[in-house]
Amino acid sequence: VSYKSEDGVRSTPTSGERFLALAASYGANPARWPQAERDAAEKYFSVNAQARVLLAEAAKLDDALDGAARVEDSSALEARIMAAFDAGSGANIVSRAAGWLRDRVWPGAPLWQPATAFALSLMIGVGAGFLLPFSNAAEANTDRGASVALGEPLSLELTGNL
Amino acid sequence: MVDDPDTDLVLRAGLGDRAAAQALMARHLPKMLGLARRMLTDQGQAEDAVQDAFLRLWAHAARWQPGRAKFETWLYRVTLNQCYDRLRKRTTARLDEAFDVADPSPGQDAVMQNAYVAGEIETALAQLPERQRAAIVLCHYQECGNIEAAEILGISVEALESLLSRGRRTLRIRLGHLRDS
Repeated sequence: VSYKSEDGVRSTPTSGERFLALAASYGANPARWPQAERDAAEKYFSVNAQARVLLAEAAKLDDALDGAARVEDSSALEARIMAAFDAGSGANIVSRAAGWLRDRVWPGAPLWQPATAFALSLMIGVGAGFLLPFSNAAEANTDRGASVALGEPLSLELTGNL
Repeated sequence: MVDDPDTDLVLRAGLGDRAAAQALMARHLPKMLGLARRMLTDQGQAEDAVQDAFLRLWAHAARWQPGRAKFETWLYRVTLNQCYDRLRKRTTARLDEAFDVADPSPGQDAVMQNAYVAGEIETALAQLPERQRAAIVLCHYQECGNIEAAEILGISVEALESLLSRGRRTLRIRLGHLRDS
């Protein structure tokens, strides 16, 4: 397809087809055309009466589309979105703190590795805690037995009472 | 490296900065709601889609990596995916109900006429295949450039132009009665 311009210059089929394709895709408003082709396309339409007919058709559809209802803002939606941000920011702080700790204690590892190590340490600590009271009691009994064996008072208070 | 005016706000929002989050929302919410409203034609569903998109934003802001993608393109994409999810769950019956717009009778005022025209346009848009509709909404209503629109849709510029061209051709036929009147 080629179009004879008003000044008698015949455009190349390639550019003519391309400019018509621009109008078919993006409509008649040059602001919506690709920037790199805008000037050349505007020039093409300005000198091609036949092409301008097709451009006018595209403009009619643009006008029709502009008749769609305006989208209203929603203050309730804004409030819901910010409430979600507020609710999530606490969780984010915990997550960031865990990430910070992981980077310093176990850099480059996935979070589950230091978490598992921490959990194992905790279990070992708790297990050891069950054993410690027996150990202390034995120690106390030993001390007491030694004191009695040596005939020493069990405490200073007892000594005072005597 | 992408030059992105939102990078600072996203990073601050990721650190829990409420003012940054609010500024980010004020800048982008109208655009995202516009996209969702024109894709879904249902205000409630559109608001839900946008809210879910922002929830994803709040969840990912702390891990945002500047320079990899433009933030607005990413948010458009997330919002569009939320719209696609909802469109796929819809039933035909629900669509018919949503676009049941009454014909104007003689004597109705301009407000009714405008509502009728708007309804016809929404119906025609909603009957387009999803991707053709998304291409037209992004380029015509959201005024995205062709490169940005193609990135949002995850396609080439040539493919975008093909979607636009086919979509507009269909709309021209379906809205012919409005243009001629």
